Amino acid sequence: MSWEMLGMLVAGILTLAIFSLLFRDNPLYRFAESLLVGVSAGYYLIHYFNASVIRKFYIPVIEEGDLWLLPGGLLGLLILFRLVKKYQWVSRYSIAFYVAAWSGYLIPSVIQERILTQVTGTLPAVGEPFTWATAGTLLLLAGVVSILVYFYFSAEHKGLLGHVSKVGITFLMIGFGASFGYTVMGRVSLLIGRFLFLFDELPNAVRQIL
Amino acid sequence: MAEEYGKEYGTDYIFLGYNPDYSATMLRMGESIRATYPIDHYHTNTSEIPILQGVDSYADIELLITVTASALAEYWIIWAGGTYDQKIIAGNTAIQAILVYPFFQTGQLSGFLGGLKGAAEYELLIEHSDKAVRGMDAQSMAHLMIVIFIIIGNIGFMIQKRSQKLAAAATSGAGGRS
Repeated sequence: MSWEMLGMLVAGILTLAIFSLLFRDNPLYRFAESLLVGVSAGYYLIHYFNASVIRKFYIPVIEEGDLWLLPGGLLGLLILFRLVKKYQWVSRYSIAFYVAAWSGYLIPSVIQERILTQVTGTLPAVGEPFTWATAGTLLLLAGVVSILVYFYFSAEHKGLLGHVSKVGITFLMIGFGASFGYTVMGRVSLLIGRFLFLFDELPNAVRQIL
Repeated sequence: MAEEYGKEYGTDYIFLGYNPDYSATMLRMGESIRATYPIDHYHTNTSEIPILQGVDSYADIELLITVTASALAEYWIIWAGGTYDQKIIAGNTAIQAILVYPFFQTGQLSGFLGGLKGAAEYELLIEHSDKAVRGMDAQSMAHLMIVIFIIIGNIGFMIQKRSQKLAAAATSGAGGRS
């Protein structure tokens, strides 16, 4: 039996152990759950340590002598002062540097890509012939404006404001409904994936072992 | 899969491995892929790998394809698309799809596969029906079942509300008579 086959068998047993919760809570389920949490934590710890400390610091600085990375490594080490109550303030220098650097990078880019370009996409093109796409954009614009009105709390939602805000909540509900539908699709896809594994891949593997 | 399609590691494809801090990685890849990943996942020097000869930044890449279960597509759009004008297409799990569709609508993404439905559509498009198309039957049935449950739940809620209203009216009527 190869390691791959053994892995598939273990995966099959653990999948059934997790599904056993559908019957009732039991030691097998708890074992599988704890194993998943433990293995994940251990895997990520080693993975991140190797990817960041070894590959990004130890190899370039110690093996290749790239001393320009030392200040970055020092800032990284300062974070560990979070663990010493008396010197916790030292770690703030690293956090301040990180937050400031990323704010400088992120803010203009995020404003451009998530706000300005999205706003441009909401506005219908002027001067172009009216098509279904234009109708869709107009509907989108109506949705955006009415939802913004729904979240406008500086005036009482009465009269025209009340009517528009009701249209806004309808758009919101349609949005939440679509989001819920996609979430269901995501979860069901995971279940289908597990069933395909249990009824398709696993029996094939068992047949090969036998 | 490489064997199935007759592709060779280093010549046709490369596995660069994981780099911490995806935003910094995506940004730096716009300047130099080889500097971002001095070694590949198997600790081979990337400057010696044939596929990366003449390819060192987004400027040398025609199309960036991201397949992810998280919000990474959005960050590719911000960093590679926004900063370096890289053409991007994405495949996302259904849960993330709703957040990524607006970027497709604005053209920030050139193509998009949303969840199992998107994967099934793609399989049909390339005339290679496989797991996604097979899964769609179960997916549709599950959705139908959930819609039926929602309708039953709503009917139950309305009946309960109505019976509570009737009970309240009966109580207030009885109170009025006494």
